[in-house]
Amino acid sequence: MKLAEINYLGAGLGVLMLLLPFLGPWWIVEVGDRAFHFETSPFELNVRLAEMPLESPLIGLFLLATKISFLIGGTFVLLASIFPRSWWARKLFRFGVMKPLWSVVGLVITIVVGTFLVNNVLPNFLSSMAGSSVVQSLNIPYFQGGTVATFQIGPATITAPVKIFLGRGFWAGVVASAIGIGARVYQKKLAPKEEATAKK
Amino acid sequence: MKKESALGLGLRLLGLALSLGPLLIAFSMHNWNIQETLIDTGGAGSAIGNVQNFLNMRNMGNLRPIQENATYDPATQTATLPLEISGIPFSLTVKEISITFTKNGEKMILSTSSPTQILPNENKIIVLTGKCSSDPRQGNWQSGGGEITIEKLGIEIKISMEGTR
Repeated sequence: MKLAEINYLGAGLGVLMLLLPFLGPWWIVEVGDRAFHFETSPFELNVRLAEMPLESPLIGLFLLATKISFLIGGTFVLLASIFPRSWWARKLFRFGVMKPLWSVVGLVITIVVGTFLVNNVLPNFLSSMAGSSVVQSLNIPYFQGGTVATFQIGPATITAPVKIFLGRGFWAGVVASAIGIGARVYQKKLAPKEEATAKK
Repeated sequence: MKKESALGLGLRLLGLALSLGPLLIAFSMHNWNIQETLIDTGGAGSAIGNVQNFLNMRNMGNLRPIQENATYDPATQTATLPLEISGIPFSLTVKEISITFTKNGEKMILSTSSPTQILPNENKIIVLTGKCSSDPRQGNWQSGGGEITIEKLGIEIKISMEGTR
């Protein structure tokens, strides 16, 4: 191992990937005062409706697998960055380096689609649940912000404050994604494909 | 080349195991029942039940005026009307109740003075107070409707009432 040959960006990314699953939720939605609480990240999903937890065994296991995948990927990226000219470095590096970016992209797509559905489909769902409903105001912000949702159900007007914000885990994921792109470019310079193949 | 290919294959299998593993484990743990695998039905049922109970509050079948205990003080021209709230299976805060009565063009508004906390299944008396130039217990007062505002977990419901007397 030569210090000059270490991909420091990659090593930093490896360490950050090992920390990411433990940096908390990426996106948090709070309706009222704990009436509905939703927080998610690629590693966890915590949903509470009227103070009762809603859980999905399938999603829980998928998120656990993502967590394990990040821990393995982070370890691989770290090792491949410290030994970039090893025969195994290129494969291990590729296994983990893009995970943060795809996680951020995946979550952003999920948020955009989910918020669109909430703004456009939820009113109809509530209508069927409560008999008849007229949504007076439901314009949930996509990533961060607050609003007050107002529903008219028969003689009742329901008002619910909604708060949405991105957690520090999301910003750590964005930083990890940027480092990942840089680290990938740098890794190719340190150990071009032909050289890595020749070293095997 | 063989070592690298074997490593590539191993990593692909690892990725596959991390994708398909949760699916197989989750279904096998719940006897291949799709509903139980997708959502924990116990928790979801309770949560939806709580929400439905809350939404059904709009019917306000648990609110009863106790007319026989209504009072009037001619000195201060103040009338009071107790309201009994009962049978609500969860806690909530009654933020405001306001009821309007009319008689021959005269209008009287009875309302609460402060928010009241109701505990689950608690029988609570809330006293409405208002100003009136004559004793409202006499004469043919007509209800002009009213409003009740309740709050639970930061969500507010304002209900318009009709025909209360």
